[in-house]
Amino acid sequence: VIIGLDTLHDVESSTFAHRSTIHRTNISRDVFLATGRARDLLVEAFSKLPSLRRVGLRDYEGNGRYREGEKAKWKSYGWSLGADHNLDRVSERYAPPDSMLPLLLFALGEASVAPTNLETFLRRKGLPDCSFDLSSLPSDVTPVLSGLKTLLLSLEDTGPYNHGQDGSTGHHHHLKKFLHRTPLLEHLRCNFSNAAIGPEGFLSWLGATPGATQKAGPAPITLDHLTTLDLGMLRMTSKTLLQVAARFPTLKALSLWKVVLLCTEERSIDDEPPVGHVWSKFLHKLGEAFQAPEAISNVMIGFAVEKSSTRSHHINNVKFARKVTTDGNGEKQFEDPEYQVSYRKHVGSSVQNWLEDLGNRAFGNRPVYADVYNSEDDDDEDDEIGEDDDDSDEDDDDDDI
Amino acid sequence: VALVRRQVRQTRNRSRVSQASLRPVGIDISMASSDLSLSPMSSTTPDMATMAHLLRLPPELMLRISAHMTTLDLGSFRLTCKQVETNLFESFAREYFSKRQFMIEQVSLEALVGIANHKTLAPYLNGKGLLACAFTIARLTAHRGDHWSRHTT
Repeated sequence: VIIGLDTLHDVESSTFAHRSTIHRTNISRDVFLATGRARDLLVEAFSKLPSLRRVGLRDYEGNGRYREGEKAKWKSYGWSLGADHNLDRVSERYAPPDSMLPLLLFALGEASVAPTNLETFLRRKGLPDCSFDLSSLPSDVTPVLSGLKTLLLSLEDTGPYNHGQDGSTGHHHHLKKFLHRTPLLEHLRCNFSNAAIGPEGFLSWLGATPGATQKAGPAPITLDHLTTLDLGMLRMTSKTLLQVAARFPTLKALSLWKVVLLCTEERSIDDEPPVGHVWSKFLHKLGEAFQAPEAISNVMIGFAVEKSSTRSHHINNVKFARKVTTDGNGEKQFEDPEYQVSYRKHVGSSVQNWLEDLGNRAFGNRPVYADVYNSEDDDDEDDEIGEDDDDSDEDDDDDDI
Repeated sequence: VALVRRQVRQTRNRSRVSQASLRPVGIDISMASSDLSLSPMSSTTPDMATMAHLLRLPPELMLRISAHMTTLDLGSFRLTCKQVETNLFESFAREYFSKRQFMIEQVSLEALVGIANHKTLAPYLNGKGLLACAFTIARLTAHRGDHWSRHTT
């Protein structure tokens, strides 16, 4: 069950009759929420669905409605109430997700239902830290969290002003406490909403070893079952990312989507390294960082970006050449670039060799006055590590059947 | 496919005129009506025994044909007779009910409760139908009562 964030009452329609029908047949969304009616209906529905596996939030229309044409979308139930499709031009409005996650968790807890998957796909506004504040929710939410195996999050970065004085509190404080209550997690995805502000503090915490000297704030977590980690749309140093990759001994798959790696190396202006060197160094170290490299079965890197110099404010897109040659002057020539690369384990393959080779193929052009959002290869569909398509869904589920 | 689609539309038009046509869901239209025959219509009476009837197609071929229909046509096709409905139900339920999106609005959450209370469809929302990525039948909102009441009988 997916909860769409689209709203009916704020719909912009071209006809009065359409708007009138909505207001005549539905109480307003605010009243629906404030009276608890929305929560009651969710509890009632969930209590009838005791084996519910997957719940989520979503704020855009889904692709794949092929019956109605390639551009047809899946929308929330009831969106067309009162609309005459031949006459009305309807444009959806979306509510912020802030209170929706607590509402969903409350209803699941009240209904004593513990799905394995909690998936949020939010392109308009990610979940703020207050969405993860469970202090006011009753204790029956605990079984809901402790049963989660897949947690896909679209997070709003709270910005630099929310840092605690020691840099460890404030920032994603409630999210950290939330993750302490999900010990069975196998798949964690964090898509941040703004790669311009780095969630370095949160990632440092994720990569910290329990028992290490801890500043104020929630202790580091132990996710003993984590096999898949996806990070998207964020900016951080290689060192932090390597710590995160090294943190989980059970890790089998790692995805990095639109990750901006920051250069921390001070160089003189005459000694500017080539674009791609930050990613190149990172990839050379990543193979060694994994606790169990032989267990790594999948690695995906898409639309890598780096800040190639500590002095410059510019960030550069990093590409991976399919072919690298050396010209007469001994200069490397990179040909046939690709922006998205992936590794899949097979007999005789080695993730360390693959990463080593990939590091040698990383390059970029300088200067590029663009940021990650203006990439020519970018479009709306790429803004986050997206939903699994139907085929992969099918693969996943076949295993369960 | 075009033929089936046209015949389904004809069936839909008839059903608008008379709701009675929806009621006898057990009727074998391969015998009762030549509308759904796949053989070319001719002026002479076709040999019913040798004619290729839609209902004699293996279910997987019927599914392949139905895959080319729009949601509205699929809804009408399912209304034609019980055998068609039985053949298509599993795939229909997976496509439209295994992953479904509701908004925080009265009409939408009441629909969620309606499906959760539905004996045949609830298992799909509950995790039985795991495959398709499908949420809602926007154009079928007007038909939703039909779908639910049909499966409770």
